[in-house]
Amino acid sequence: MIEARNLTKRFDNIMAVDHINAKIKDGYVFGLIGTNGAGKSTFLRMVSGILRPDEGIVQIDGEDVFENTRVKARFFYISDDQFFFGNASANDMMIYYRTIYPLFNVPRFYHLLESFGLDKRRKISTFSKGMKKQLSVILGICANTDYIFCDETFDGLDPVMRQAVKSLFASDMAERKLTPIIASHNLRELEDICDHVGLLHKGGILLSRDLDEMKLNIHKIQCVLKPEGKAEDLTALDIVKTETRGSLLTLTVRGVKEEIEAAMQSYEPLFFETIPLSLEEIFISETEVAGYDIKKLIF
Amino acid sequence: MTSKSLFFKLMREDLKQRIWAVGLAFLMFFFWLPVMAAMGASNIEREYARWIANGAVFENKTLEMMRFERFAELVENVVGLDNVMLIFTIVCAAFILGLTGFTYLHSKKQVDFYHSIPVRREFIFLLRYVNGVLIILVMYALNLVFALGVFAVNGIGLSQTFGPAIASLVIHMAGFLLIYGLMVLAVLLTGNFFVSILGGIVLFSWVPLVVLLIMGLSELFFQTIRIDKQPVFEMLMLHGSPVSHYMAMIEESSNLGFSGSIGHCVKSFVGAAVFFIAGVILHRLRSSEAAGKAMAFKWSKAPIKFLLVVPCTIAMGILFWTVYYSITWAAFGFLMGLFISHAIIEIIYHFDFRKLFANLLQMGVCAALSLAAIGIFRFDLVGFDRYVPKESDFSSASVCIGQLSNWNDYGLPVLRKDGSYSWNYLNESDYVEGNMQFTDYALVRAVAEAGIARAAENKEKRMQGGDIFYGYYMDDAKSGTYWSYVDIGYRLKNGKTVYRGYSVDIYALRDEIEKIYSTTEYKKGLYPVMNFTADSTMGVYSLKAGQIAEVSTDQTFCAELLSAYQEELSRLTLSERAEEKPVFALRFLSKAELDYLHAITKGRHPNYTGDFMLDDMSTVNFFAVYPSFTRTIELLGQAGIDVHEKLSAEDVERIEICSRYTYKIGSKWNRDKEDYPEYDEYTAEYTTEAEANMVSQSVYRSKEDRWITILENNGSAENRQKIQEVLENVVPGDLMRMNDLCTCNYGLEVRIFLKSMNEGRSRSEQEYLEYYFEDIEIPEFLKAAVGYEEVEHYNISYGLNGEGD
Repeated sequence: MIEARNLTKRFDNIMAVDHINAKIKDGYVFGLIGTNGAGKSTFLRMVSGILRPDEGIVQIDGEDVFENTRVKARFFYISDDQFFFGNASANDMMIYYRTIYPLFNVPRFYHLLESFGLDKRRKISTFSKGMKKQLSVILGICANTDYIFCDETFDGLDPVMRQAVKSLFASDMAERKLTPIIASHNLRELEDICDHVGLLHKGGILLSRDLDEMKLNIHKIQCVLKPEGKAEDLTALDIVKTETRGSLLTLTVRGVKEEIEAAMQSYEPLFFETIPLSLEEIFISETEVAGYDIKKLIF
Repeated sequence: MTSKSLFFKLMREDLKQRIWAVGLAFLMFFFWLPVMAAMGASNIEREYARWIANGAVFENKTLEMMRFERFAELVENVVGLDNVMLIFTIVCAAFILGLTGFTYLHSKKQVDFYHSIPVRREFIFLLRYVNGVLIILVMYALNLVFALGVFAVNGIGLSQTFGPAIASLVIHMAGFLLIYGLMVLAVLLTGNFFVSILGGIVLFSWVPLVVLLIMGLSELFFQTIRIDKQPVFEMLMLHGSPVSHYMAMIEESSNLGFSGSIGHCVKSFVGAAVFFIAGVILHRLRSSEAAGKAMAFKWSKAPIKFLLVVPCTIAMGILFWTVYYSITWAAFGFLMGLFISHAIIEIIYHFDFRKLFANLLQMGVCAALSLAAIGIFRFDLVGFDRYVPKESDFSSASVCIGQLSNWNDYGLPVLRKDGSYSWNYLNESDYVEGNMQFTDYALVRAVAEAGIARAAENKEKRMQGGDIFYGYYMDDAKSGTYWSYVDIGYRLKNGKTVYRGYSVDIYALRDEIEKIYSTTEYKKGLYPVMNFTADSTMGVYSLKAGQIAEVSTDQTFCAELLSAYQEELSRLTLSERAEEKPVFALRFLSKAELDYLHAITKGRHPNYTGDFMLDDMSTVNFFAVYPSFTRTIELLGQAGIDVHEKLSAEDVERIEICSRYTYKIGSKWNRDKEDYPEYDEYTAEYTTEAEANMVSQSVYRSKEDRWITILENNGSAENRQKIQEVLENVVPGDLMRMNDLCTCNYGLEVRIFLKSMNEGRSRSEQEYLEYYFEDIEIPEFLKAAVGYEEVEHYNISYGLNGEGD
């Protein structure tokens, strides 16, 4: 299990990660979502032992990560812009990683390269951005580490490849309890893969929950109230956000679906229905609650 | 995870990434070692074949010996330290490998990669560091083996090549490690490639440049400093930068052999080890987020800024001040230096031009530090110029009084390793500093205090932009002062020697100087001849008017003459020197000098059977004989030498009299057109006056703008009489220069062309003897011929005899 306690990182006067506490369980996909500059990459770089925390600790199974080669051998870090040696081919990189990660699965590497249609002898510098991402994931998967840290790894992958990578993760999770930790701002990409989500905002963690639980606890209600009815009257509901379009109200409400529906029925609306929220909507709602007005960015 | 096998595996992987460096290093060493050896060998063999074909004959040497000599030279030029291309390659390689080996730290991408893998950072540093060294060491050694192979094929075995090759390898690698280590530190301290290069330039040049600045400030503000006697400056200039240290090491090894540079080699390895340890620590402390920033360590920013801005500010302030000695311009330069250097550093630190005014408080601190540093020099807060050791600390001193001693050069032969000789010239000042042990503290202090007082006056004069004249000057003579430099080396009881240079009025100090001169300690420290022994004297030789002659090689006579000369020189007083013009000069030749001259003559004339040829003896180590040296003169007389003998008109072919200065009626005189812009005006006046005489007196204007009167001994009684009159009144220039206390008429140079010297020579090839008129008064016929009018003249000896005041 990865545990961050009071984890803090400053870059000069900028607080990049602000006293974060998080626990990442083994065997689940942890999605790290957040706005740009929320501290996702910084958090991941600290978890990877690249950055030394200014305060707090980050541990894997109770051991500090920074400059701990035994712990670092248990994960593979894929940065948002992975480095490959100049003039190196996929095969060259495999040889390098094989030297560092003793459990590196070479046959599987060649098999996956073939499956993904990547030439092992072709210079990586001639690869497209997506191909480089694919190669990073293949190298990471074949390193056979307990954890794989992906920073915006799905960005740049086409939908087919995205599904293929997700399948790879799924199979390794099933077979050898791989724990992927995926940082992304593309919520749609995480929605169908993550088991647990950590939502970062302005360096701090807003929430860290199971995705299902999160989805179960926030809902969108579309309703038409009686002519004299107003949204403010729905006091029994924990409304996070209200949108009015004519007589149609769209409410984002916290709580269990059954309780919300029961409360709505008590107000005898002319019409109401419960719509599940996408992860993106949950993200926007939660960040708005935290004072992050997405409209200001858009308009 | 980090194990030995992993280390070597990662080294191999790293080398794969730096294969370009391996290839480049191989090519460089390949061309500068085996290829150069093969080309040189081929050239020698071709030359050797030509010698054989032409039947060439070399004195005392067979063709095979000549071939071997050439190859020995080639070995030094290729695998030895004379191969300058190797030096160039080593310096460039150290810079490039140091820079490129660690620039991954400047890239966020690469830092994320290397710092996320399960390998300790020290491990990465170590393997990259070692690889950088190995690339050069292996490529150098490999090509050295090839070069030795080339020599072996040409019959030059390892016994001749291995020693120089290994010595060269060790010295070059010591230099490489030092330069490489510091360049790596420059990269570790910075976070950007461009800033790393700047950092490298700073680290490699800061010490020598700051030492230069301090030397400049010292010379400007410390009146008594002897900059050539500050070993710490010399040491820092030579060893303050790895590159200069490397060059010094090579030069030392070339001069003294490998054994002579072992000390510096060891220092280089120690220095490299220190740089390496510093590198490991910095690498460990360096945070990953430093990639891309100008400086990797926040704490280093301010100190580095101070170290750069303060010297720049001082240098600019002083530079502008010395232009016009104006405080306004000094302030301008100071502020410009401060602002520009501070702004540039801030812009670099922030990579943002708009930050040029950032950290103004630090700029203020820099200004304060710069002012404080200037103040230390300007107001001599360290008391440098006032220094005189306490009597309790004083052991002895060397006292070199310029006007008393500037008369000769000394020297001694040096036997080289290969059996050949070189001559080590030693000026009087160096001899005095090395040999004089003057122990009278009170006299030394009296001279020093007079010098300190003068230094204080001079300093204020200089601060106002005034010129300071350190020697004899007409106006000084009029006012009864005669300035001379006095260099004192205080030898302290703690073993240190502290040097100071003063300017003192020897008229005012004549009593003290007279006392100093009369001591045996002073004379023994000033005149090497005072320490000669009869056993070491192999012969006595004389000098007069440039003519060297043998006096005697009889040991008994030489011993007697030496003893008489030493006794009379020891009795010589300053007053006597002020009155007496040297009449002769003697050289007491030592065994080492004799061997040296023998070797020189043998080298030039292998078939010569005598000891040596007098032509090979130069005019060093000759000592003046004064008229009061009656016993010496008497002994010389016994050897058939009349020291007072004048030249006879019969022996003279012609005399040329040249005016060395342009005299203007009214007692002004000029030496040099460039120094005196009014020269042309004076010349015009003078020329007009002299023109009348030119017609009747064979006066010619020479190419050097000198006036030459030629007196030809053409059989005319009038000319012979004029020549004789001149000969009666002149003294040899070389003897006169041995005693500056008793001057002669240097205004007119008398060139005497002897018949015996120039028989069969064309006029342009003829040689002459240099003489000067003994007094200001010259024959009447010459006065008219050269338009000469006696200038107001002061003989310095008057002052010493009490007539100058």
